[in-house]
Amino acid sequence: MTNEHTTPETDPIAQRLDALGAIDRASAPGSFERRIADAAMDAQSSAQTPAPIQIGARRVWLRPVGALAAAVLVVGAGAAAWFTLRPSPTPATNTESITQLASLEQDVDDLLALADLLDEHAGSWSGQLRSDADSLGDSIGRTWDALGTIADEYVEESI
Amino acid sequence: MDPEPPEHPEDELSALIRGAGDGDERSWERLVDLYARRIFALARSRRLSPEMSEEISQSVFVTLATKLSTGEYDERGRFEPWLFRVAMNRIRDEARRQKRHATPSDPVWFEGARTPPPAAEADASTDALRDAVGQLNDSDREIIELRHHGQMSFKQIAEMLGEPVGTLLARHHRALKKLRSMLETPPQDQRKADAS
Repeated sequence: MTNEHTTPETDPIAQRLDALGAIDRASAPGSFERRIADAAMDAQSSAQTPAPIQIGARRVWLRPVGALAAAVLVVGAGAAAWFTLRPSPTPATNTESITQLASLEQDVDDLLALADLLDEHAGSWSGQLRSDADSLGDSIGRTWDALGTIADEYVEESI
Repeated sequence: MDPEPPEHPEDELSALIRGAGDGDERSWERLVDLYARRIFALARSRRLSPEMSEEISQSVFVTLATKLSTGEYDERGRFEPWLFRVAMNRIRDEARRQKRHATPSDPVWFEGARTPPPAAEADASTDALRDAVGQLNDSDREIIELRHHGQMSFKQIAEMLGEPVGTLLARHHRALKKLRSMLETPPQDQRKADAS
């Protein structure tokens, strides 16, 4: 290294410092440059930012399916929680059981009575229905006959 | 003595940096040839081991590679000051770390004191010079190391440190005189001179 900035007074020291620098530069181990270059290029490759992942359009249909599945999951979880956490009925005492049994018998009796009543009225309801149908049939028959008469008269006049 | 590193026109350096940024192996090899040993020597001058000096050199180039890849490098026309600033920061950090954790058997523990030189440097005068550089204050030492180990021009050192070239020339001259004085004066007399 040229030492144009030194004076005769400091030039020997500057030259010794240059020599010391040269020793230190030359003391680098073998293949030093190769290792440094390889490390730099490796770092460069790994520093490259990966391309962002593109979600294709054909996957769009999965979104409502996913939303539906999530909704079903939430409702199911809610129902399960409700069944799990709701207060369970307390066991009935003997007195309550007897009272409830008597009430059940009364209900059965009422149902049987209602069935009898329906049986009694069923015959009259069906008779009434048949009578109404007959009346309606007669009425239609008469109307049909009248139309036939009119048609016959029309045909005769036409001839 | 090494010849002074050739001046690299900005265009050539820009092309190398651009090529390295594109992953061109030859550009990387050229950049490493130009600067790696100079960084290594700066670390060695702080008495860091060859292994640690290589690790620091490698980390500086890895930093460069990362910045080139991510587009963070924006030092157009000021590549060398930027590179050596990164290097000096790493070297200072490591030297401080080693001093904090030094044991009496570590060479760094003896910095400033006379120690038996390694076989490869079995030159008493070279070792004395190393010790003398170690006794300079930080700013003087940095100029000496950047100039003689890093082979930087005063203009580049001025850009790196943000100081006028004239100021640096004056400080360099003063540091050389201090070194000459230290090397000419025996250690015991030097201590007396420092005390007075």
